[in-house]
Amino acid sequence: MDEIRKAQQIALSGMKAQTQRLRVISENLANADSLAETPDGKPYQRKVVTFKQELDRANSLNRVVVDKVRNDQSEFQRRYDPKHPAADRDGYVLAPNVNPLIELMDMREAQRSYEANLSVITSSRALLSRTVDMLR
Amino acid sequence: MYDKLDLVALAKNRMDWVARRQEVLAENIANANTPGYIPSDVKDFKAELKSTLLPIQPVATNPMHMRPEIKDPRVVVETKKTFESSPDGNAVVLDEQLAKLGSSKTSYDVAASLMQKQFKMIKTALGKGGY
Repeated sequence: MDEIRKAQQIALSGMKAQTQRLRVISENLANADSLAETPDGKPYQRKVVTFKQELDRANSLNRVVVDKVRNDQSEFQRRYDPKHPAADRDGYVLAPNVNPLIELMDMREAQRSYEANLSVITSSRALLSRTVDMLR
Repeated sequence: MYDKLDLVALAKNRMDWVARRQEVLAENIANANTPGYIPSDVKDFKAELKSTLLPIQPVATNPMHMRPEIKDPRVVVETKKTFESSPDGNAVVLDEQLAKLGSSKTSYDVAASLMQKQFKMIKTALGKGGY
């Protein structure tokens, strides 16, 4: 039965990791319009989450954890808005390198992965309860 | 205890196998977005039945001893053939893993029912009713 409990723990760690990913995605989406404040200033830079495996020695299982939240190094967008206080000489303002479509796709992927982990927990629980049913 | 009851022992082995597989599949699914992760699976049950030798585990005779986790070599196999892998090197196909999860649940149910049935038959043989 230990393995089934471990399976649940692993799935739980996966869900946790996906939740953290969702948090970063929401941060990106919320800041999609956080423009630069001064002509030399930088706007909001998109953040990217990566996962990694980590050995949990106490329970001898491989958990999934968020490795690092890094900045997306791609170029900023430029918007033409001469009246903006942060506009440069040509009238362009630097805008975040956030593409809402990509964020939405990432969100969907996170959701699917979360659901998959959830179904691991459900099926593990079904196995456990099937075992308990044998006592009857 | 179950040495004399072949069917029960078989069912028990099968349930153990499914439980181990559950852990491996959970790991695969949890790593569905981990870069470079390649999913693994347990060896099929036929191979499990054939090999009866367990790997030798070290014994800790002193509390200072470190206990390495020695994985049963016949259990986890890295799968080489997958349908696809994403640009970051991850080769987990969620549908495939979920299908495996479903099928192992079915075989667990079958094994559990077999075991229960066997016990009921023994009960019947003992003459205490029960059907």
